Amino acid sequence: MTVLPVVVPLAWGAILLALGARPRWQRLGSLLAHGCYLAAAVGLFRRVTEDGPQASSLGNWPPPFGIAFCADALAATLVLLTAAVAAPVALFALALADGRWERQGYHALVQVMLAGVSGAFLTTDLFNLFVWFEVTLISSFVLLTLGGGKAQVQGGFKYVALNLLSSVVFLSAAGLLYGTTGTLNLADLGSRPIEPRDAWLVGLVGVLFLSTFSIKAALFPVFFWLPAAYPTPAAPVAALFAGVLTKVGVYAMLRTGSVFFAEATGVWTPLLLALSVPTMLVGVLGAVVQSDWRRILAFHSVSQVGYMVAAVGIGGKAGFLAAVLFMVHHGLVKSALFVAAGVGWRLGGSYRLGKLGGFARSHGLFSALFLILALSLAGLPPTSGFAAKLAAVRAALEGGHGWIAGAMVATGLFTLYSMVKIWNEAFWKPAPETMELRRPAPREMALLHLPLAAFAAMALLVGLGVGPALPAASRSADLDRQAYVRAVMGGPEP
Amino acid sequence: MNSLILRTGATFVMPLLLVFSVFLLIRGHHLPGGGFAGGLVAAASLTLYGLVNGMGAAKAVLRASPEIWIAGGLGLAVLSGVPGLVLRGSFLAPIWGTLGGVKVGTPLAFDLGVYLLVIGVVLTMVFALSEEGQA
Repeated sequence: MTVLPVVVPLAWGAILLALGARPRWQRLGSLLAHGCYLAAAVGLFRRVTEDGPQASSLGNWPPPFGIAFCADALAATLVLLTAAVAAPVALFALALADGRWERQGYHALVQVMLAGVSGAFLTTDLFNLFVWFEVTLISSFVLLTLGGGKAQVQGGFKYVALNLLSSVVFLSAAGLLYGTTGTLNLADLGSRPIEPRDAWLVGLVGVLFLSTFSIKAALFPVFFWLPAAYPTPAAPVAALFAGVLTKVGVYAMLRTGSVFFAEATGVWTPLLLALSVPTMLVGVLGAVVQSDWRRILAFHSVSQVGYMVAAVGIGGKAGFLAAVLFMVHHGLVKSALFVAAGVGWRLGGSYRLGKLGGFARSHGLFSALFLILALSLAGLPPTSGFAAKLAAVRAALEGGHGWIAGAMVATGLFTLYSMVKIWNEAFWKPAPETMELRRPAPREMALLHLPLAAFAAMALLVGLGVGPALPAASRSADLDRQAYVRAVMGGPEP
Repeated sequence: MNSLILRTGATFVMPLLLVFSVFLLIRGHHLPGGGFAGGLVAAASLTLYGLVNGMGAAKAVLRASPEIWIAGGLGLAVLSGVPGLVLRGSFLAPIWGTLGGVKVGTPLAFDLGVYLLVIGVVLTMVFALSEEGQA
């Protein structure tokens, strides 16, 4: 069960690649592939919620020697989130597809990227985490530059250069850690004591790991690949990346921190807390000065990563709950807002807010859906953003980090300002005379609106479902480190 | 490439390289070698053929486009894990049997998948680079 979310998209990647330049078959295959991935993710999630953490090792080689996968509640939730983001984005891609990306392998690459992301969520081994990072990096780099405009190649270059640096640091750190402790299996690392003479080396390795995960998560001061890369690619690619990519970095911090690094190194938690505040503020202030729809959203992604990392740093049950809730919320809503930007581009012909206008009058449903999603990002009830921000601020206050709570509230205000700015420019003000409103066919209009409606429904569902239950949930939710270690080290499934 | 020495040499070296690549592929189960190394050698042999006779000839030898080779290799590698999942409950668990007195099993299929995949990847790059040189 545990390996299915990795194996299924890989197999579909091969099938879609073999289908070659047959757009119809590619689209049909892509829909089937996303359906299978969603089914695998739902199946895994249900299994984990019913029976607890599930572990399996490839080829039945026992850990710590074999390659083990483990799905606990955290990993299963994030795989499910990935599937829940990828499926509506796939519909959106069908609305915009014109055969050009299909010939360059768009659908197959998306499947390979999903396999990489799932692998990163499910693996229990630091070297395998590196491998899955690379799978994700290479496929996402090609996706970024599909079509190959100048801006795209520039953005893609920054993305790949910074991420390759992260890979080098990761690999060196993994080598050092293996030389020191003799294992890279997380559960194994978490269950054995560190010798006092190795403590300083483990501390150093912890900082190296933190810096590579920071690059993946786009944390201050190594976030600049994100605003360079996200506003340039094809609309569905940007939507998929915005929902999924940074989560992998935050997840790696949460997982490796909770199982091993936070306790093994004294500096891990203070660094996370100290970096989270500038990440929030720089991101949101960067967004305020932008006038391009997708640039605003990209800078906001940076600031939202600040919330997640702050919650990871705060730790404990409340911090863990806030981090997971925020990742789910942000994955859904930020993807949705990038889809909305893509719809605006399809209808109005531009991402520049100055060249758009009048959607509130010409496209009522689109405007209403955007409004729900934008208010969710700003954190207004009853949406997922409210639940996530409430959990984050509550965790900060309970942990005695008043200044982080203050930064969260201030960031929320600026976020609201940016969302109102997009609303005022693209939706409320009269359409500029230069704007030629395109009128897609009804079938395409349906495909443009359906993903947005799905995302808005999920955002409301998360908000309504979690918001009122928050006090109770924060008592019961926990990242059960012992159960994770037991599930992995106790051997393969019987 | 219009060198008599290269053309004559390639005629002899290419089949040797191909045989050697299969040797590496099979040897790799217990000793250094395997699908990756074998695939690289096979791809080098085909590249040599392309340098001598033109990349069009090398594409004709491949019969399918390199992307299909990648897809086939990836598909075979993934498929080779499925019997283990079904019979032993663990993806990629090795299943062995004998075929005409020779021990064969899913690890060999996995290696063969890697072999095909590496040939496809390297030749995709070589063909793309050679086209860039002509433009």
